[in-house]
Amino acid sequence: MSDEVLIELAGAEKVFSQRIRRGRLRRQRRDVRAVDGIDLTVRRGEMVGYLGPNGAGKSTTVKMLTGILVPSGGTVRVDGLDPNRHRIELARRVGVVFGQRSQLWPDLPLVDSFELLRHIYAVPAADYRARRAELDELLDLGDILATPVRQLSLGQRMRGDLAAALLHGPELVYLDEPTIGLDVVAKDRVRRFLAHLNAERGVTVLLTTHDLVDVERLCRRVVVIDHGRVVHDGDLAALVRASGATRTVVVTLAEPGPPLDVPGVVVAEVDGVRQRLRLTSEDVSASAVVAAAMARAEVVDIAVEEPAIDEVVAAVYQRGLA
Amino acid sequence: MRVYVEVARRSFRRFATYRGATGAALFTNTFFGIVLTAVVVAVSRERGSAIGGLDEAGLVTQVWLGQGMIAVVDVFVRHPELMERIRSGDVVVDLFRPVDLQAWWAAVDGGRAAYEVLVRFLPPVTIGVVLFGARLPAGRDVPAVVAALVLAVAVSFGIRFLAYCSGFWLLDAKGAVRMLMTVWIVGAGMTIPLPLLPDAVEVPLRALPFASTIQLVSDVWTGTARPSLPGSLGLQAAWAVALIGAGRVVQARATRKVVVQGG
Amino acid sequence: MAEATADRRLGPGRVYARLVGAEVRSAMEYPASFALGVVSSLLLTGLSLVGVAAVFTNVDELSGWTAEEVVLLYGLASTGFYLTDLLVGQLDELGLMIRTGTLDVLLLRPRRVLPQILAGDVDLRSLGKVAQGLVALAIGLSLADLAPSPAAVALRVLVALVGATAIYAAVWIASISICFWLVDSREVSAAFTYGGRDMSSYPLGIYGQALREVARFVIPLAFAAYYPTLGLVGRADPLGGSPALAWAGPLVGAVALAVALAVWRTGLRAYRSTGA
Repeated sequence: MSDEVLIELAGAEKVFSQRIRRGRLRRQRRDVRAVDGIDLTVRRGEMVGYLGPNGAGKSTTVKMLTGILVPSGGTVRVDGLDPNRHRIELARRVGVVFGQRSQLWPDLPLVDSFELLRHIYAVPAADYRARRAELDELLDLGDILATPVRQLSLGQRMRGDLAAALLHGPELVYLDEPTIGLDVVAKDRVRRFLAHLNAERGVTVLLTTHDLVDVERLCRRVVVIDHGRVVHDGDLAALVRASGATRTVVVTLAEPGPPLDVPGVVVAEVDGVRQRLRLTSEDVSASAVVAAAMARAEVVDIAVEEPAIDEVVAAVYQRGLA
Repeated sequence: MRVYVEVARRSFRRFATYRGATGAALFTNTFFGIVLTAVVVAVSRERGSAIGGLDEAGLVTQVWLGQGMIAVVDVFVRHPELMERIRSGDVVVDLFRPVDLQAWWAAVDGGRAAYEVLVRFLPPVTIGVVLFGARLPAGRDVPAVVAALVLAVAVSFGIRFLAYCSGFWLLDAKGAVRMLMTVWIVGAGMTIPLPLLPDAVEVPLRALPFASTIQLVSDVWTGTARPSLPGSLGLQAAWAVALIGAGRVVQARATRKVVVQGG
Repeated sequence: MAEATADRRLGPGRVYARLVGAEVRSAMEYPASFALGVVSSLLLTGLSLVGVAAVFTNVDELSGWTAEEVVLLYGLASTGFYLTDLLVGQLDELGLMIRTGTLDVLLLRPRRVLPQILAGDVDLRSLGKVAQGLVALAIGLSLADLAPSPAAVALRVLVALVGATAIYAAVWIASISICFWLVDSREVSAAFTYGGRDMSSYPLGIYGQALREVARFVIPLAFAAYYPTLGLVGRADPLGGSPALAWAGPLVGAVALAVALAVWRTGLRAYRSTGA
């Protein structure tokens, strides 16, 4: 990861004016602040997770970064350039995958889409051949190249879209929900591919996702936005700390019994012989809890669980602006 | 029976919420109405005498009635939901419900047509009357006009239902429907009002169901129904029965086909 | 390395050619179906020609024009219009593209939006419609009393078609741009495009004063077929226009296109400001 700043949003705003109908005839204008002052800096080579509940402003941010939307306020710069004015120039260096909308031509075989994109992006023949070879192998496209995109499964189409976004060798990639709707195997393949892309090729990645396992596996840095503002920007560990979510000690007893009364925990669940003891705060020591549990009952087995990441994020959303 | 009334009412309400497109559609109708009015006026003045029993005002009336009827009988096939359901295969679910497919869609169409009469028929006709000298029907003809209107919707439904059902057998129902649309436009008197066509062409065209969806309504409105008022209404009714009847046969075949093929 | 640099800048023309080539190839895959499509387009649009001819079963002249002259007028208008349909007809999908977000996909690419739309989904069966126009044109040319020499006639027809195509294209582009402000106003656009075609298929004299002024100065449909046809049949314009107007089509078309493109660009900018 270098020090060079690739993406810079400063006080970025995007206000949509909506007309909503109130009653039979009256219409009211309502301003929706989809992006309400975002400051964000991404350096070359980073892989950043971009999280937020639906409607938080994630897609809007990406649209401003790619020049699809013009910001209402603040500044947006990609490699020092304003995407609004330099849309075409930046487009050559950026790859985008929208999880829910494909860039491929639906009626043509996958390989035809690649050929068309090659011409649209003016990719030199030698580069194209080399990249195709690599992408075909890494994403296992061999069998599906001749299939019309319309007939591909979601997972196959997603791999096709990923390849399509990378054919022109972009230095920066925006991925909007790239693993949505995929089965576990496909998700894993995509994640490993993305990790390789970032680690080996130094491609900067902004990954918008709801899939928190994506974040866990791929992103050292996580930016959480809600209601158009950044509510957290740091590494995953910091996110966990900020959320206040705590670990859970799971004890398996010799025989079922009443909830253990151990200081510093809340018994979250009793399931036969197993009890889940959630630590009430960071400061409670897991080993102390284990010791206390063993003093009160015959403990057969123990485990310590980190907080589930969705809890973490939900907690951060709930806290809103810290 | 109650089900179908409910369906129709809900369909009406659903269409009532699409406000936006109406202004645009009215603009379009008005533009075409103006161009066609200019043509028929020029022809009428040049001719100096009635054409097909219609004087200048009568021809102008038919032009604006035609514009008003377009949406009501859905000549441009703007609501091909059934066709989409057949293409995607979702219709299989509908065929096995305890509700008759054709009756269901007839009710939906009825609700739609009722809405379009208010919002897509009255405005162009009003413009025609107020700005271009189109005529209103004679008082005693009004019930017949209403009857003709209802029958026209029925005939048009019959045509469209059959066209959509072709999707059970044809791969490219859309192409067939598009071709149908063009024949319909001509046969209904939209490209040029049928009275302006030579008898040799006009008579066979009138016999076809397409004319029953627009031209025959216009005829009743202007009091020039051929060969007679009851005869004209009778022809519309006959086509409605024939097409809807054919639709039932096709529906039964389609259901059997779906059962055999397993959807 | 040399190969790389030579390949670098594939201009829009080459990309367009390739995309259209893809369309041609897929059409050729099912030649029977394609031929059927062309023939049916021809026949179906031919019904409009029949309609125009049918008008003259009631009268001998319309606004002082004979049937052959009107068929010639119709032929010019129709050929020009369907050529335009072939070239820019894809624009009718703009409302749908906005609604489904396909327009955003085009904005992601390092190319201008309009050429991308025009290069996509070219419907070659529209050639049948152009053929119908040519048939009408041929009939009109052979039956009407033409004033200029055959060579001059050929030149005038060519100039007229260029002008007509440009003018109809301008109308199409400008009117479909309304979709950037009011999503899915395809119907409004159809009024101008198909309505404009219908309007320019009849002699200008049948229209009221207001409409005639519009057709001459606002949406210059009169230059697409009316003035050129006056020149072909050697008649003076009853409204006092100079005979030179018959040649003005391409110039008027160029100006109209410039205006239309400005409208388009403004619309695209508005779309990017307000979002979908």
